Amino acid sequence: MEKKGEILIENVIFIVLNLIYLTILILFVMSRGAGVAGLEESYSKQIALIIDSSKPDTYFYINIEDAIEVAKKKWGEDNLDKIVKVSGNMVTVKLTEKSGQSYSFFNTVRIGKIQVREKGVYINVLAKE
Amino acid sequence: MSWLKSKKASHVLSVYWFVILILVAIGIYAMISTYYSYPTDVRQWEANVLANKAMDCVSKNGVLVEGLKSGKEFEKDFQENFDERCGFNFADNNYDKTQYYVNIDFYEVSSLDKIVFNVYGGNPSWGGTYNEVQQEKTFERIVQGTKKRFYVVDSERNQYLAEVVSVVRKSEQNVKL
Repeated sequence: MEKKGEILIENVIFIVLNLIYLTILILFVMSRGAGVAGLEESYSKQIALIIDSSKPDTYFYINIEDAIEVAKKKWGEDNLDKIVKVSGNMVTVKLTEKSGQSYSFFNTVRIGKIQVREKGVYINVLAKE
Repeated sequence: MSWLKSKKASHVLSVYWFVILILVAIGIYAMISTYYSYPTDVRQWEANVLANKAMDCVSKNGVLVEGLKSGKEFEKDFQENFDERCGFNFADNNYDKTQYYVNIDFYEVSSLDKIVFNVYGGNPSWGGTYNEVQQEKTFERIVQGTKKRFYVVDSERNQYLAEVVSVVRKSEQNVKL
């Protein structure tokens, strides 16, 4: 007589628990990678370094899609224009109302209007007046 | 009975399996938390950009720029207004002291042991710290820098070797102290 194959309920529970475990682990890793502080720090430094390397009359675009998504969720779409600011020789990236990270640049240039679009930010580097 | 025994054994194995999973999770959590608690150190790139800017400021297409040397004499005015002439603004509201240092020594190619002219900007004490980093591999967390050399000629085709040292401190923002 042939034995009929059966799926044990324990095995199903075991597999489901393992999947839940892996999902939690992956979500944790992804959430830490896209943390507010980390994004603010890395983008403020990147923008400051690009400004340092730029010659006057340079127009550059930097993709900050992940930071824009975080800002939309945590600060609202109305505040997207405020996420990248340059004051004097200091770049500030701010993704929530209470957070923000600044990094200075040494290049004596003037920064024109900063435009935040769907996926990134346009920055205009001009000669000092 | 043997069926019961194997089922019990598999339950015990499952418990051990989940203990291992929890230990792996704790390990991954610890590694990721440690990794993201450290800031990104960009000072080496910053020092490179600073050195390149300084080189562009004193030489154009391998020739000393106008205003750096007139006749046989190097211009003191260039030395005194180096930051302004090169477009450097080393002020930073996050720090009391200047966090940058850039120095260019010019040597005559015929006698490389004697500096004929020197210009610098920023805080010279970081230059000393950087020298110690180079010699003893200590204080690496305090400053990061770069050293570059290039040849340049003046309008009378006299050759010079220029050595640029650029140093960035900003350790509070770039390393975990």
